[in-house]
Amino acid sequence: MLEIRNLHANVDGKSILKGLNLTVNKGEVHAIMGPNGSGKSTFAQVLTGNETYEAVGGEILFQGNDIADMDPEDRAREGIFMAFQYPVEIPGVSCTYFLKNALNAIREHQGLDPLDAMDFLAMVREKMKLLEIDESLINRSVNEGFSGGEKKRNEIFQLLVLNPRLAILDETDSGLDIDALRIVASGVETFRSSENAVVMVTHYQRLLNYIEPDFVHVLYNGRIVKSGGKELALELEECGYDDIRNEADAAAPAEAAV
Amino acid sequence: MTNHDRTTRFLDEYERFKAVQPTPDWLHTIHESGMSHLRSVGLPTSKDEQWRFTDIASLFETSFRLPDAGMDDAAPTGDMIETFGIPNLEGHVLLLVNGKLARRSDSCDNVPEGVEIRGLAESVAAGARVAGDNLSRYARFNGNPFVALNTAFIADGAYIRIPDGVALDRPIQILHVIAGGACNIVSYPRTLIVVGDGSEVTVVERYVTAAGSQYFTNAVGELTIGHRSRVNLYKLQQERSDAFHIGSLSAHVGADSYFNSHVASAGAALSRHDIHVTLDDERAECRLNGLYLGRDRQVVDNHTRIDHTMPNCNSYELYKGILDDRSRGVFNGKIHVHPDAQKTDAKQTNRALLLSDDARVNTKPELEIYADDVKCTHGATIGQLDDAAVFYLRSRGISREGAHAILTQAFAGEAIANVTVEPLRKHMESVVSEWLA
Repeated sequence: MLEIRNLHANVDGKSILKGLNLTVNKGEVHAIMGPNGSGKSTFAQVLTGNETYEAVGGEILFQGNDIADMDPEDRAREGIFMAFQYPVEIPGVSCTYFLKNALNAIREHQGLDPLDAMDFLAMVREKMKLLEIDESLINRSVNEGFSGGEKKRNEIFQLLVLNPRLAILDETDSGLDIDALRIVASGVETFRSSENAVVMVTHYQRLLNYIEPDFVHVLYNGRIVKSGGKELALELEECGYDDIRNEADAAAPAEAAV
Repeated sequence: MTNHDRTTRFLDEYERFKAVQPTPDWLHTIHESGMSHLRSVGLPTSKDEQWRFTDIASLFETSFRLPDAGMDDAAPTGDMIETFGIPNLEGHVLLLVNGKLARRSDSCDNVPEGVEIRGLAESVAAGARVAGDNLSRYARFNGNPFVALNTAFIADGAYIRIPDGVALDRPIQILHVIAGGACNIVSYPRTLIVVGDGSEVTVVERYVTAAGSQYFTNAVGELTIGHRSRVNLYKLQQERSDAFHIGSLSAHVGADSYFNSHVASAGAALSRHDIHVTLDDERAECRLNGLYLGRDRQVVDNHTRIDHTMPNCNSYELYKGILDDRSRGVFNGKIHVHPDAQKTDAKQTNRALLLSDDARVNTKPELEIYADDVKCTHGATIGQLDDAAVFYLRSRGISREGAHAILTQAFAGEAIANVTVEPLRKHMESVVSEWLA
């Protein structure tokens, strides 16, 4: 589904991703871990098409097509979704209006008729129930005045409504208490299927207790330096990133000096 | 063209006006007061502080004339109420064509005793004392020669009187329609609204164009509110894109009364809206809202002034502007707190959204405070659409254009949200969405 080859990306002219390779097949859940500043969020933003992050080399193949130059809305319509680490507050735009516009833009791209108001509302209500979101939310402005936990839940709610092929979760676990984490995780589990894939970017192993990954990768200094199964996450939790840092720095001393 | 030459054109027109207009003495005195003020100060230039950012030189490139007698009679006024009335807004309607009363809806006569919804000229002709006592009493010339200009040419307009203890349940629409021919016309509509004690009324003034050539509207409104009353006044300026609109409103608000004003400006090449509210007595409150839209080379200028003269009065002000292309916005908000006006609570906000690099806005709060126990705040922001919000919407599949439209509409929405008359709010929302489309 997703194949990333030798991806290089800059932020404000500064090189952040320095040859990242990753293959994600449908049905798989991947966790990307790594210390602060390793490029995790940049990776998520570049995949989504944020223009502040400049892909300067390599390829991002999504379902066989190179999407590196694609606009974010086109990527979304093709089936890429990112749950934001910091969801944006949009005063004056109601959640319903926003989601209906988004869903119908995606449906139009898929050659489907727009969902009528009744069907849309019924579908939305069902997903809200799953995420234990109060119904009043749909009339509120997008993320405005939401607590940290509400914002994260709202992201997963959107994930379920838009039902993409690939979900990228950018630090979705940060700032969540145990209850919210459980709800968010069960939302992701609902989404998970043999037809789609999940890439979780996270700093901590905690989330992985709830959403079990098939693969764990360690991102360090703009590259994936180690990959393994879910046991790798436990290892990292115990020993920290120091060993991986040392190994990686030893393998590429010139890079480390930068 | 010198300041004197500019003014002379209008003075010449005055002689013609006097010759054809039958006028009672008291009104003639009012005309003369406007004209003599104009003779002494002239029309403003950008050297005048109050006109610094709004260059009206283009107004003088065309000679505007009063509509010829009979010209407005020729216009088919029958369906104008239907064509230009706010959709689904039930209520009383005064139709003014080229500044003169053309029609009143039948419902204007079907009102509680003492309520008057009429043309100004017919009220003058009928010798309406209340009209005579109030006309030109509140609209001061100070600093705005266009008020004097309008005053010199008072001939017709709207007169609304709500006596004590009447809550008029349906709104009054004043439709200002321009239907000129080949001639560039100037109209001087005058609106006088007199509200007694313990009363309530909602008035909607809409300025639109039916046909004709480039024209100039110089409108003046006067409003006086007694005690414990509530008045909503909406102004929609939707004149054709090459028109000039210079309007001003003076409102006096009595004790325990509430005045809510909303000015929405989308049309005209150059428009200027002056509002001067005097909170005359204790516990008076006013809320001034504004929404201005500019594109191409439009210039839209809002000047507000609120005088807090007595204790415990509140004023809240929110103006929002959206400017595209090379358009230009001006906001000047003055709040004058007089020495007696302790416990004043005044809040002023102006936010402008610039959709192009060439659009500009000049915003200036002016607070003059002569009392020591007051709360006055002001804030102004000028900005572009939030990139993070645009990206957020696009990341969900919404196009760039769609995201811009949604965010711009939301920006305007804040200034419309508190319009309680639903058909009117719907209309204003559609004005914004059509403007964006």
